[in-house]
Amino acid sequence: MLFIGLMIGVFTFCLFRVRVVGKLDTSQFQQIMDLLPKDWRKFADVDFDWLVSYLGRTSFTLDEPMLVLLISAWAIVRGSDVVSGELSRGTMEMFLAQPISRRRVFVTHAAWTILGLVALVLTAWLGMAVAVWTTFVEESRYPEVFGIPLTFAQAVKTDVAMSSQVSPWMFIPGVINLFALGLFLAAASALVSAFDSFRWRTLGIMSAFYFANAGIKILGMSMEEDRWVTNLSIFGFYSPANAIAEVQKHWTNAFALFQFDPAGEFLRSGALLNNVVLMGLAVAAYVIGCRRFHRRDLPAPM
Amino acid sequence: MSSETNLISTAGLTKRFGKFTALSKVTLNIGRGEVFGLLGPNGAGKSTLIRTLMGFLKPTSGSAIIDGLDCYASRVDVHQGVTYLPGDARLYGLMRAKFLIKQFCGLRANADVDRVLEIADRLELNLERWVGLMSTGMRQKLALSVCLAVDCPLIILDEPTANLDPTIRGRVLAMVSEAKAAGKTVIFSSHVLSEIEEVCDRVGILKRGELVYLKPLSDLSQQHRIQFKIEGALTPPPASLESLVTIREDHRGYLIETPSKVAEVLQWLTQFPLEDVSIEPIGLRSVYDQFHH
Repeated sequence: MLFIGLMIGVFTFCLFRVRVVGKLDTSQFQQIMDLLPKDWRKFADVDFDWLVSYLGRTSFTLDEPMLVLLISAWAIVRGSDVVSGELSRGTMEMFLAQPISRRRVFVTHAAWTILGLVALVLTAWLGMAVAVWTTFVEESRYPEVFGIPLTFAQAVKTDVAMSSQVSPWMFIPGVINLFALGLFLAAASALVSAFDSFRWRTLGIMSAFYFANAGIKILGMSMEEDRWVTNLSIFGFYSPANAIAEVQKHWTNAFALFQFDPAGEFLRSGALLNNVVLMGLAVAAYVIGCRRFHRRDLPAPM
Repeated sequence: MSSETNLISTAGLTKRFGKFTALSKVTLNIGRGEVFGLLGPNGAGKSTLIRTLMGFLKPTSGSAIIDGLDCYASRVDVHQGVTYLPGDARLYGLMRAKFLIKQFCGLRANADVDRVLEIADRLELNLERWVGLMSTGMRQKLALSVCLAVDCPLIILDEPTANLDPTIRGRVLAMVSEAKAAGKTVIFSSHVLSEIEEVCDRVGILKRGELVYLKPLSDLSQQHRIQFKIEGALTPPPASLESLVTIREDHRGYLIETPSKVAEVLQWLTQFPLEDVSIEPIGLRSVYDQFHH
């Protein structure tokens, strides 16, 4: 039920979000962005000017807190269920009285969680893609003669398919980053669950972890001299719009470990490093969680 | 006793939780085909012992072996030959009983869905119901059906008749007897002494984590208690009875306990002018009260 609900939520949110921002008049959107205080730019991982483009404003869907929360909800709720969930319900004894190893229980549960995560992340992409494929945007175009635009003539407003401006395949680097974040949260939740006996406490710990990390990222982004603080947060490794912007510049940026500014100064971690850190920590969390579950005493149902 | 005759062996089995000792040096052998009754008050360590045998708890020291396999290190292999009913059997509520049965049977090679359905029918259980909407007794019947249908050499039942009406209790005890007749070994943990007396071959009593009593039930049936009053003093018993009988005197008169030879004791007592005589077998109740009052 949770999965179906989240799937519907993710799809509709991405669909409508892309559709709505896609239909905004570009020149008006530029004016709004120009009006925003310059200080606010430090809270974005991408150039504000890039955000005005169709790719920019649609890609930013993956940075939206609502989408991240929906994906995180799946990861945390599923992860918390594997050990402390079963112990809280008291169903662990009947289950593990069968000839089934604890490792197999843990790994199977993780596999289904990851499968669900893949499905949700693909649903997010699909929602964005369907919106791109089915949305028409108003563009001002000069009439053309033999392919040459007559700029002295009056521009004519025409409806243009958004897909001619944006390719949904460009979202892939950001979607991969979203998956990596979800994977980490699922693994971290499973790790806490393996040590805990009460699901409510596991959920509490993970919720506190989630919001603390969100706060650390915002704090880090607000301090221009100490932006390294953002990398103390797991959300410091989550920059899907930035990954898409970098890949748009050159496809090899998908494999960048670090990003540098034009002057050669270090800016932030690259797309590959972000995913490697998140997925690496996820693997470590799953391994430790599995070992803990394998060795711990199981309390009797309360 | 060798491992060929013993299915279960524990040696100095101890389990501590911090400073609290739940089991203390429990040494126990349970033979193949035996129905073993496990008794003790709440908190005596019965469930801890059973859960240690099931590999849910790691022993602090000592060993627990089932059919030659270490209960903790080889718990998955142990579970192949064990079917277990927990003292508080919890089942997944968001499915119908029939579906749940199929799920559990799918986890075992030696589970038979038809056998489960047959037992459920015998226990008068409606399998079309959602588990979450069943009463406590119905869920207990469902757990019993899942447990007793598995063809395993060892059956461990922790409070199997809890929340069941007398008719169904009787059927559960009958199933335990059938399991024994089929050569299976049963560990039967219960607070109901009459059930232990009815189905078990041997009984062990736990008190504060220690095994304080371990005897065949057949020995208990031989033991008797004779209470009476007399005018004057009771002379010592003859030499043949001296080492066998226990004589106590209190405000109610004399109390003689004898493990056997009740006829000889009565013959000796006939020389006295007895009043208010009562003779009763020393049941499990008396033994239990000895350790827990």
